[in-house]
Amino acid sequence: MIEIKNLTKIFKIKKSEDIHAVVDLSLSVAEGEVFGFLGPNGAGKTTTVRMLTSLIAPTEGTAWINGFKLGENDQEIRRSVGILTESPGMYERLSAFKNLSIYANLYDVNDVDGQVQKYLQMLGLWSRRDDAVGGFSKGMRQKLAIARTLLHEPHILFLDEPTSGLDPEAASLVRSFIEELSVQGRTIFMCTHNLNEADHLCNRIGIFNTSLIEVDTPANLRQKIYGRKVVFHLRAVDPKWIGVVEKIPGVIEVKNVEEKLVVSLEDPESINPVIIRDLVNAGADILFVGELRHSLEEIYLQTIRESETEKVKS
Amino acid sequence: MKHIRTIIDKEWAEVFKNRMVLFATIFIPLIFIVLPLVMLYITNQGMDDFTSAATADVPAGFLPACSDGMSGGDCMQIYVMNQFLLLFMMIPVIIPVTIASYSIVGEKATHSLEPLLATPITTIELLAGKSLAAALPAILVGWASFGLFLAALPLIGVSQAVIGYIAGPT
Repeated sequence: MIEIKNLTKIFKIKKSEDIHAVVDLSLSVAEGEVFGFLGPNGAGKTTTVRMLTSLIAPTEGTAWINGFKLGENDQEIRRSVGILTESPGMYERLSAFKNLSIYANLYDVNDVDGQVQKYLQMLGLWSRRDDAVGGFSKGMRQKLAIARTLLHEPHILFLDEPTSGLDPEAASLVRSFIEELSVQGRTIFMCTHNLNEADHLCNRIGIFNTSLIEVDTPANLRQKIYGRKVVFHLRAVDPKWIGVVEKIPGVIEVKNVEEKLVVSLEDPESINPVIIRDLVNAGADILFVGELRHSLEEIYLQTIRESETEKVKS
Repeated sequence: MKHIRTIIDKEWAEVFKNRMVLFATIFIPLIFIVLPLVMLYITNQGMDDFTSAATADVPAGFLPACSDGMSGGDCMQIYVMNQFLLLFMMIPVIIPVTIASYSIVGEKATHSLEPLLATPITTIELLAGKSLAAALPAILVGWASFGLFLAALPLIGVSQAVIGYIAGPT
């Protein structure tokens, strides 16, 4: 698991100018969890990953990765985590097999050839094993980088933009592979700009912009930011039905949006039947009823905007 | 030790596929072998013309090297060789600098340094691996070039006295 306590990174550019890349980040990621780390460009996501994989030292605070303390057990941390960097970073003149063999040796893998073969086959690159990586497509390089991340069978994976720049088919393949890794019980800490991907893959999400703004499951974040809303599609909306619904206990707000009643309420499962009954009794023709599901993108944009506004105010 | 060997293996596999590194490692030492051989051959051709007057062209400070009844031509060849032998000293400088710079540029250009640093390799192992990968070919090529040069000397008719001087401690 990953336990982060007050992690801060300040880059000193000039004597008078400091860049606060990460400020007071505290976070826990449980074993086997897929955690999505979301934030705009320059938010400090990659810096955080670099600190957590002991590539750079934090200015303040610390973290425990797989039980090893950052700054004290860096070798053990590097041995027990796999990192997929933003850019695949392969040796272009060398073959796929040679690239992976080098890393397998550096990770002290016992059966180097066996492990390399296993992951090249798993990611569909075995037939191209002897080809120089320089001739590979972006998707193939990314798959090779994922294979490199897994060679030493790490329990914790840090994936920085795993599907960035990939075509839909390659991205879907990488996503399926991440799902498979999650099923194997590996802990995955994933930075991504693809919010649908995060919504689909992650158990929890952290929205981050230099400091952590929100952390929760996508469902809880939706409820927290927008509340729960139910849409009643009616054949026609009579303004008096709004009053009928507003009177029902537990209803927070009712809006008429294009011949639809959008009702904000606390507990749709118990209040929906009452609303439907009262609307039918009042003479409404209900065509469909469904929960209004805000996309993660809306939640993300709303959260980032609020944080920017607060920053400007302060 | 295994990590150092892996880094050396990686460096050689990667860097020696670069044309500039190959040029610096093979072509430059070849020039450094051929150039003094051509000079020796030319001076050898004009050996008969060398007289005590030619010997007088050799700086006085150098004359003690021309002892043991050497001819004026031999003395002149030894003098010329003393200038060219410096080229062989440059091989162990040019090759490591080329290998090391292309190694670092390559890591930077392909963004491969970050995944490399994320492995359990220590800084000392990485530096030792990279340094040895750059230094070992230079030492090898340096000695091989000098060996080839020595082997070619009798073929162009250089006298045993001159060969003995070049091969011996200077």
